[in-house]
Order: sequence, then C-alpha cells, then structure tokens
Amino acid sequence: MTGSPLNNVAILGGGVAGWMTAAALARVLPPACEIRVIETADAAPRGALSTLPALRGFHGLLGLDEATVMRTARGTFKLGARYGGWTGFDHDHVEGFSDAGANLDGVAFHHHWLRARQRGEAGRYEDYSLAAVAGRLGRFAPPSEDPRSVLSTLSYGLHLDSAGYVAALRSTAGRVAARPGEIAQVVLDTEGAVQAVVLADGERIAADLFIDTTPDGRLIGATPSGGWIDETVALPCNRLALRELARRADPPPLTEFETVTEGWLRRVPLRDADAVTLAYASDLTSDDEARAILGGEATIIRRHNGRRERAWSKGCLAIGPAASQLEPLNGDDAQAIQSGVGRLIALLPTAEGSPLAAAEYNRLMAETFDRARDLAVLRYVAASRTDRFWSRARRAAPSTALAYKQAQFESRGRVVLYDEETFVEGAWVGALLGLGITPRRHDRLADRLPAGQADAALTRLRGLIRQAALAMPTHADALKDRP
Amino acid sequence: MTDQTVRNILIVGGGTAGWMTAAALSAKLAGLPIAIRLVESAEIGTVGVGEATVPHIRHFNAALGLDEADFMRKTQATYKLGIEFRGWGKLGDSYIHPFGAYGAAIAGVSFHHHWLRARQGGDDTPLEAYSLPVMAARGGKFAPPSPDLSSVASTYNYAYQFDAGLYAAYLRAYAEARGVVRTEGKVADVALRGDDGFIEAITMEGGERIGADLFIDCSGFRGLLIEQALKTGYEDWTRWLPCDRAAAVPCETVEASTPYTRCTADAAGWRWRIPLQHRVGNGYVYSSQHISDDAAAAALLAGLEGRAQADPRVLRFVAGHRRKQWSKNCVAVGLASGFLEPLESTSIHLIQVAVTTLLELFPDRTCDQADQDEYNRVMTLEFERIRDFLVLHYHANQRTGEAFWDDRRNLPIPDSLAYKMDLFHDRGVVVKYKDGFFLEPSWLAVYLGQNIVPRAYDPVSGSVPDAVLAQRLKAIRDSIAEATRAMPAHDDWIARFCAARSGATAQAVTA
Repeated sequence: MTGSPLNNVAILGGGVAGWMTAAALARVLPPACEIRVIETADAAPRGALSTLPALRGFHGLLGLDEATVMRTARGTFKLGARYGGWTGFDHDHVEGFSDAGANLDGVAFHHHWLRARQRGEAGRYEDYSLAAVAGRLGRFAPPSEDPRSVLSTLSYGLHLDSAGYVAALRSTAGRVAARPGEIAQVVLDTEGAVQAVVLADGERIAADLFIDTTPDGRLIGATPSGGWIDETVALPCNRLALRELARRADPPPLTEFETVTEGWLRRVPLRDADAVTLAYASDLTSDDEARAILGGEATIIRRHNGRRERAWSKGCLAIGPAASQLEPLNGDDAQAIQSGVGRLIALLPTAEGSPLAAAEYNRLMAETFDRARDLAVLRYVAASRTDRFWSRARRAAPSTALAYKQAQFESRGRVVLYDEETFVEGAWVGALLGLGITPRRHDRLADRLPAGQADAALTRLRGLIRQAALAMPTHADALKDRP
Repeated sequence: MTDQTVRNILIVGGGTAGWMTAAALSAKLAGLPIAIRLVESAEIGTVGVGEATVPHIRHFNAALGLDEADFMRKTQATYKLGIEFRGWGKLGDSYIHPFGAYGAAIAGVSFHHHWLRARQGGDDTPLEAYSLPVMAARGGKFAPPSPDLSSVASTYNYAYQFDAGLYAAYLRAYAEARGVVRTEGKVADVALRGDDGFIEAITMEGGERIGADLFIDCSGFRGLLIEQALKTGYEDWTRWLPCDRAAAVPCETVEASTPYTRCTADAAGWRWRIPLQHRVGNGYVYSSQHISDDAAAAALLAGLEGRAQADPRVLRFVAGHRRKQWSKNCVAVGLASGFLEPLESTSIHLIQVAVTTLLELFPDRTCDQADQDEYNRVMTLEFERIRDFLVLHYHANQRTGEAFWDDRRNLPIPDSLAYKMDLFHDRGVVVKYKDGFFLEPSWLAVYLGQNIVPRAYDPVSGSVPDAVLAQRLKAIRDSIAEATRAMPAHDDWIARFCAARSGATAQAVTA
C-alpha cells in the first residue's frame, strides 16, 4: 500500500467513548501499532447507559461475553422505552424492539392498523409489538432463532452502568497502555493540525492519530476546523442531573421517560438500583432546583446539544461528546460512539493522514447525527405540554428533513428513510404513532383484504402476542438466570 | 366526506412500459373497485430498446406469479449473468460486470482490498477469477444459483435477455385476463380541467372521449400527457451523457448464445449485442455531434456477426428526466419519464421502480401534493444515481486521440461522481448510499475493469498474514473454477428448460 501504517494512536479522555474506541482498535490494528489511553478526570464514566440492540453486535465483534458485561456493569435487559406524559397527562406509549404486527398481503402493518382503527376497536399500535407488550408486563425472554416462533421477532438492548461498562471494555483491551493525565497544552503545527499534547506532568504525547474523547473536545476544539453546530434551540436540555435511587421490586425491561415541568426524567433499571436522570435547561431551572427534584443530591453534567462541523480533521478525530452531543432522549446511548468507531475502522488512515477518508467520515457522521437528532426533536415537536420549557422548544423550526418526514407520515403513513438512519422504519412508526402523529389516509392497497378477515387477523395477532408475553419469565427472574 | 378513492385509471401507450404498468396494477389492485384501461395504436411502433434486464426483473415477474419457463419460451429469452464491456478503458480491454460479488470478505475487510494487496505483492491474478458469474459467462455456461447459501454456487444472481415486444405481448395477455380493457387508436386531444389543470379526459381520433381519475403516460419520448399537455419540463443531462441517437438492427444467430450482453465502445459511442434464442439484437448508441447517421449505420452493419434481418432503425433521445415524473393526476412511466441509455440495462428496471413506487404511494383522486413530492424525490434519486454510474464508464477511459473519448475524459463530471471516484482512487473505498441501485460489486467491476486502481488498500487487510492470504485466495479461485466446470453450457440449459419452439411467436398466456 502507499503510505505507511499507523505507528501509534493516542486516545485522550477515556470514559465510555475512549474505551469503546480503544477496545475496538486493539482488535484490528496490527500488533506493531501502539495504542495509548490518557485518562482525564473529567472523562470518567458517570451515570447509566440505555442502549440499542446494535451495541450487542459491537460486543460480538470485540468477543466480549454478554454475561460478563452485564455482571460487571450491573446490567439489565431492555426491550424498549416507555414515554409518559407527552401528549397529555394520561399519555403513555412504549416503543419496543420488535416491529409491530406482520406484513399482511404485502402491505406494511401500520396501514392495516390504521384501517381497522377507523372502523372501531383495534387496540394500541404497540399491542402488536411483542417487545412492547412484554416490556409493559415486566417480562423478558431472549429471541428465538426459529423464524416460525413469534419470539423470533424480539430483539433486545442492555441497560448498563457506565463505570462498570468501562471496566468490562478495559478488560478486553489488553494491549492498550493506559495512564491518568491532564491536558496542559495542545500543540498545533503551522497548518493547524495537532502535533502533540503536553500533559500537566510535563509528558509530551506525540502520535500519528489523536482521538479526542474528552467531554468538551479539548483537542478538536483547539484546531481551526473544530467548529460546533449548535442545536440548543430545538433541543433545550443543557444540564443532566444524575442520581441512583433504590431498586424497584419488579423493574420492567424498559427505559422509562416522563415529562416534567422543567424537562424530562429518565429511569434506567440496573441490577441493584435505578439510575435516574433529570434533563433540563439551565436558564429556566437552577442546579439546586434540579437536585431538589431528585430528592436532594445529584451529580450535575453540562451538555451542549450539537455536533462538530468536522469530527475528523487532519490527524485528530473526535468520538463521543467531543464529536456530538444529543440529549439522551432516544435511548440510543453509545450509538454515536459505536458508529464513529466502526467508520474509523472502515476508513482507517495511514500515518501520513488521509484527507479524503476524513471527508467521507465527516459526511457519514454528520448525516448519522442529524437523523438521530431528528427523532429527538420530534419528541419536542409532538409534545403538547404548555410549560414554558416545552412551549419554547416547540417554537423551534424542525430540520427540512424532519418536516418532510413528518408531513409524509401525516399525509398517508409513508415513512421516509434517508441515508445513514440509525432508526429503522418500524422504530419511526412506533415513535410517530406513539406520539400521536396519525396519518390522514392509509395505503389503499390495504383495502384489498376484506375487512372481516383483516379484523380477525389483527385480533388473532394481538392474542398471540399477549399469550407469548405472559409465558415469559419476569425480568427479575430472567436476570437471576444470568448471574 | 365524499369518496375520493380512485375508481379508474387510464394508461396511454402500450409497449413495454404500458403493459408492465397494466400488468402490475391489475395484479396489485385486484379486489379493489378500480377499472384499468389502456389505449394504444398499432400504427405507432414501440421502441423496445431495453431487451437486456437486471436481476430485479425476477422479483417483478414473481410478484405477478409468472412461470419462468413459460415466460422465457414465449419471449425467446436467454439468461444473463452480466455485461461484457469491450474497449472501454483502452482499446482491446475486456471486463464483465457480473451480477454477483467478488470473492468474500476476509477478517471483516472487503475482498477487493485483499486482492489489491496481493496485486501489489506481485500476484497478477485478474479480479474476475474471483467471480463465479464472470467465469461462467466467459465459459458460455449457465445454471441457476444454488439455494445452499454456504455453496459458492449461490454467490450470484441472474437476469434475462428477451424480446421486449414479445414481453409486452405476454404481459398484455396477462393484464387483459385480469380485466384491463385495451382500446385501439390514436389520441387526438387532451382536455385539462379548468380549476386545477388536472387531466380530465383524452379524445381519440375516432371521437371517443375517455376520462379517468389517474392517467399513466406511457407514450414514449414525446410525453403526450406529461409534457405536451402538462408541460412539466425536462432536466437535460446531455452535457454528461451526449449520446442522442441509436441505430438498432437484429441479425441471425451464428454462434452459441452467450449468457451475457456485450457493450463495445466505438468511435462515437458504443454498440450493444444482446443474444436471444431466435436472433441477436444489435445497436449503436452514438452522439450525433460526432458521427453521421449513415456512418453509424454502416459501423453497426459492419460489426454484425450474422446476416441483418432488417434495415437499421434510428431512434432519437435526450438523456435526462422530466422535472416532475408525477405531475397533477399524471404519472409518466418509461421513456415518457426520461431516458438513460441502456448501457447498464436499466430501461426496464426504471419502469419497474416507477410502477412499484406508484403502488407504494397509490393516491386518491386529489393526488395529494405530498404523494407527488415523494414520488418525484424517489425517482429523481434513482435517475441521478444511475446517471453517475453511467458517466463513470465514459469518463474512466484511456482512449486518447479519439475526439469523442477525449471529451468524455476531459469534460467535467457531476460532483457526486467526482467525490466517489476520488475516494476509490485514494484507498479503494466505494461510497455507499441507502438508495442507489448499483452496489459495491458493480462499482468495483467498472473501476477496476477500466483501470482505476486505488493508490492504497484498507490497512486492516494487513492483519491477515501473507501466506494465509495466498492460501485463501487460491481456495476461492479453485472453488469457483470447479463450480464453473460443473455448470452446463448456456444453450444446453435453455434447451432443457425453456426452449422456444422454432418459429414460434408469443402465445397468449392463460392465467
């Protein structure tokens, strides 16, 4: 090949972003390439993660045993997320990790549901998603490999304690050298590329590739191309208050979100506790008020929703909060990190740097962030609360892409998917319908199925799903089986 | 609320586009109270350029429930494993763009990076040795892919080469059996509604006035409804794809039929060769700026392998698409919607995408603007991404000293294509999009087939030791060579499975 392979990679920061990156690079970089992690105090892992099923694929690539991860990270299972209080005080819906219903007569299920609903009782859309139904009932079972079984429609994610998760990642990254250190100075060359990082104790770190996993982007932000695209108008939470509360007797395998006057509350079940997050806007709610809402004490984290214009510039690449920050309202924690690491590996640079690979990386990561952001913004657009926090957020104009997506769904239930979507069609349908966005028309082709036949199929399906969910063990019992 | 459902559809124009639309609508709308009518005139010839197809046609046929052997017999069809491109990089070059991937990923890294690495290490095995469909095509062999996904014999797909006129006739019988009413005659007039400019009705030369809720314009290049009546405008891509004419002529078969289409670069464009059971279809797609009609026809005739069965027929077109392929209550399908030269056999595919997308967005009588917008977004994207792929064939040439080819190499290309080419050249990255008809193996075939070789390969491929890599490469080559040997000759398979009776014409299908 032209250009020499990377000789050394320095990961500054650490935490979940730094260690996911280190563990993955340790797998793919040739043994001769040195990988170092300099752990800064502010990047230390805090709080809990509510993750998508895709993270389990990442563990598979790392050879990271799931039982070990769950044990080390106080993990529980996640079949989806429940959202409460969005379109009214009695509103509540679950977005489950299995597509609702079945493809009847070649037409997407939600059209059949919309049609049945016009005629009368069809239940909630989520009643046709096994993951959602089981989640509400507090039940869990792993997916079946047998495609004829309704259990094959399931998939699941994990709830993980961040600190424990970092410990699990660290244990698989044997060849990675790690040490604590604080960044004193970022040295740029004449072209604005990071040349070295000087630590507080005087050590000078040089590398072919610097990976910035600090919470505030100390390296990438020091380069001339480290501009930040602000998203705080549409996504108003710039503070997260974290606290652990006592474990409930029967925690559901769901992340639970609830609107409050100040913003929203998130509850993530861990083995021995519930990790609770309050997200709020600092100009409307003080940190002390936030602590009071959580019962007196909490760790406060500052956030700034948005992303870098370019996450990768010359020899410095940002992953995690240094690259993008999205308030954790989709239950897709660690997803941006995972896609950043995956794309870095697919576009691995040479020691001399690969500007075209960086441009492609930036295009892909920008698209990925923007599409996930759209789903979070949708949760504000669709909210009906009239508190100042909520009504102010609703006044922000959604992106062209989201406005189009919403208009298409409202018109005739069409789900528009762009390049680099994190969330598949079924996830968007679950969110849109759950948030009360209902199409004016359903697909005319659904009318081919005689109404009585369609109703019978829907009723049968709902019964089958409920029965399958009730046959599963409780979430608590399922966790006991995975010590 | 008044009932706004579509109750009748009028398709204007038969041909491949008209009858594919009629067949698909009659199958997918069956059970709904919707009447489908098609008007066409036997006096107006059909173009039928798209005689070679891509594998998606099999989904289309399967959705209609067509019997493969019967369909092949009635359309004089042969199998197609890919397209051979002759003389596109340099004079004398030949590569096949196959329907299938090369090799298999090793250590999570796409195969071509390993191939590039071996090549830089002195291994000069051509990429095509790692493609079963190419090796089978070169050997004139065919068998359907194995359903066993662990077998190398499952690593390809196939399409057909058929007589488009017979295919239209076949689908006509299918559609008529499902209630589509055909009316013979020419359209004399198109009437628009005063309030919103929707099409209200057409009047036939015989005086009959036919109204409909939804009109499908399959009238060909002229766009009788979409352009002549609704004046939607045309996005002209001549600056990138300057070929504006084609001369077509069938000739007698004199050799075994190849399981692939051939596209041979020529002085002012390229010539196609499509083997059918009963004849060989030939054509010359050219730029009228660079060659006269007479010279093109002479070049076409001079290149025939067997006796010409007719005089060359000249077709005129402009590369590009209607600004709105769906406007008001009119959807244009086929040549009425736009034209991309059949270099990658996409004409019939574009018809298929249009019909499928129309069904996905099937409107009510108001033809909601949202439906039109989404249809036009999807179709424009489809056209643009095929366009880039076609332009690549022209741009990546080393035929210096020929005016037509020098221009193709030197004139600007779309930015979207330049970006893709830069990334490939830099380190073998094939840019991927969600919507894009041609996937990584296709781009690889053309890039490498036309001598665009990356400067560098994926460094992760270095994690596989040299000796292990050499062994893996050999194992893949050997299994492909063996699987190829085991396949029957293309003509033998046709004779066994789907031979048309000699001299037979298309028979109506009984459905």
